[in-house]
Amino acid sequence: MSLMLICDDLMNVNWIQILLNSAVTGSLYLIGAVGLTVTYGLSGFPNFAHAEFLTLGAFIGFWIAEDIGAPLPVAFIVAFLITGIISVLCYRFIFQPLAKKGASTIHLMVASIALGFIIRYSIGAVWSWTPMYFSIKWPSYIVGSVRIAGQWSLLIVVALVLAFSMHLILIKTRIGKAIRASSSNPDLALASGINVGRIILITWFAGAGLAAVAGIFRAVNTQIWPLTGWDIILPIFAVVVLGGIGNYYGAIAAAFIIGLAENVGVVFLTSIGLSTEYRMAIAFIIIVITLIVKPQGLAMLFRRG
Amino acid sequence: MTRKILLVLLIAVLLLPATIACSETTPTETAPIKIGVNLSLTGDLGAMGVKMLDAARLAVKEINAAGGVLGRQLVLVEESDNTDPAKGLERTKKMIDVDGIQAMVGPMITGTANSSGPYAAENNVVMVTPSATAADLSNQDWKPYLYRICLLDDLQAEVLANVVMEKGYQRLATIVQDNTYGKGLEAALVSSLEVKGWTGEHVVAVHFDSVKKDYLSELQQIKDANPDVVFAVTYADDGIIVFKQALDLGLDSIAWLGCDGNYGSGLFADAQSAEFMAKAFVAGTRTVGGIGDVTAKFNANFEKEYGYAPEVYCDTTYDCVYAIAKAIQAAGAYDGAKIQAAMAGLKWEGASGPISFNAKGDRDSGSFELWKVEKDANGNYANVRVSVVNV
Repeated sequence: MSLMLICDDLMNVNWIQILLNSAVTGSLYLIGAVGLTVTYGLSGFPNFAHAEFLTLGAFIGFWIAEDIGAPLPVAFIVAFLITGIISVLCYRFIFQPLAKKGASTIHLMVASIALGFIIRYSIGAVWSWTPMYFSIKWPSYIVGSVRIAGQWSLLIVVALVLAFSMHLILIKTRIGKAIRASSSNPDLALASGINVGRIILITWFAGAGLAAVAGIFRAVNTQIWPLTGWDIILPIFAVVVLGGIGNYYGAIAAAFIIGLAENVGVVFLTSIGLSTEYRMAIAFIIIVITLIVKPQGLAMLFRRG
Repeated sequence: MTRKILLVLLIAVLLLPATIACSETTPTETAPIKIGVNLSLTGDLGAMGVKMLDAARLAVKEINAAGGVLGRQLVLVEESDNTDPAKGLERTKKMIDVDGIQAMVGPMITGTANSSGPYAAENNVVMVTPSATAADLSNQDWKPYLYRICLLDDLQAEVLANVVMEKGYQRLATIVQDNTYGKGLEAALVSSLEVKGWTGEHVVAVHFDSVKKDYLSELQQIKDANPDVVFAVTYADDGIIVFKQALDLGLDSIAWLGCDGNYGSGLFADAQSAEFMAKAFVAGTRTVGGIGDVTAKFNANFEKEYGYAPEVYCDTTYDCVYAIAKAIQAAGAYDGAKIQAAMAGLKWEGASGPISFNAKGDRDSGSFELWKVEKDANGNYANVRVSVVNV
């Protein structure tokens, strides 16, 4: 395809809709990545089982909403709580003892991969590997040249509420200040009388709870099966790395940058006749470039975090 | 012991002339004819393969009940490639070297056809596949030893091209799996349209990863290209997501065309996907096998024998066995080279419809169904036949 034709293609693209789609993708990644980046920053290792927290949350939500028939908000809350508790138990009884015995980052990481496998295959054994689908039908709205489905607007609203409330918690509350203190200097925080252990447990709880919310959104938008979380863990890690590990504000910016990169990437890939499966490569390329050029990610832009 | 063996041999020698006398075609042997079977009875396609094997066994049973071939009974040497081309070649070698087969039902998958083809051709063993549909198999130099009962994708594309021409669509978009199946059907449709003198434009071609399971951006591309018809090549799991997200984007106002991959109740597991297909799908295609007596008899006997209705590719597997039996009969001997030559001239009405081969040994005739999706009074969705087209 000639360059002229490609340019022609790009002229026809509804860029406003692409921006909206990017916001949808970015919102999902943000909700999924917040817990990962904060626990990574505090506990010092990448928790690969985070993918399974997404999956587990999605399945619990599915169970509540579809099998029991409770309204969706209830499903979100119950999934948040149960996944959060399971995450705390995992930290308390697997990662904390390992860390106390002097396990290195690599040890902890491998343990988290193992934990992920266990959860993933347990989910497969309990719920089966056949993909399932939420039966909720969402209305769609047309605003100007843009079309927006009900679940997307909900997703974006949840992400925005999350972003603002996290901001307020981090800045205004004692616990938020404690999280920031523990994250930037655990020893000093401990010496200042902050119960770092408790802070870590709280972040594991809330982080996994948010992962569960992201998992339900992903399942509502696509399908639910034991790899629901694993399917998007790569871009979520890209968000964590690009945003700067442990940096909440960096993660917000990174989530939307990666959402945009993927959606614009699809436009380009299609224009040049390539398969859109390469869009996953976009997340990879962003991770690699960030690690080479600026390992601290966007963190430098958000000193305060 | 030696005496016993000698006795058996003596009896055998004495009986030999008797059997020859009984048979018109004077077979040189009376031992059963061993026909190979190389299907995916295990692995990814195992569930489909075991049903196909049932169909092959049914054909053998019927042929044997009717007196066999050249007065000899047929037996199957049943092997599984585990849905793995390397394993498939190993099983093919075993059947040729150990069992001495001259003809084989299979391979089931294109990968095993590719891996087994050269070895089979070298040993003059004829392969008759019920299901390996990839177009590029036709260009292999060992292809004379592979006959295909399954209908190839270019025939399916021709049926779809006719729909596009009849309805007068002018702006075609395609969203297909990024593999030989998806891209093959897309290319076949486009070239078939060219041959038919279509004046429209292929406005956008989206090739997607069937594992990614999120196609919003891809569908947005389709929407922005402003087509009047969209051709989708998917399987069930990815198709569901394509169609439910297409509904989210409001793409149901455009006419959609489907194919055999997105036929079936699997697509209705998601209510939005089902709703979209009912609203947007103008037509899909799939092979329907025959509509005549042979098919009806096959369906009835199969269900009676196994307690379930025959599924996809069961009819073609059944026809593979008959193809081999007919070719042996025509060749007058169980000899691979002679069977290969005799196969080309076969023409009969099989369970999968009228069967004949083109110069490349691919099936050149068959029936396709055009289907739609409809919602019944109880709110359940189902595929509904619109018409049957012979090509």
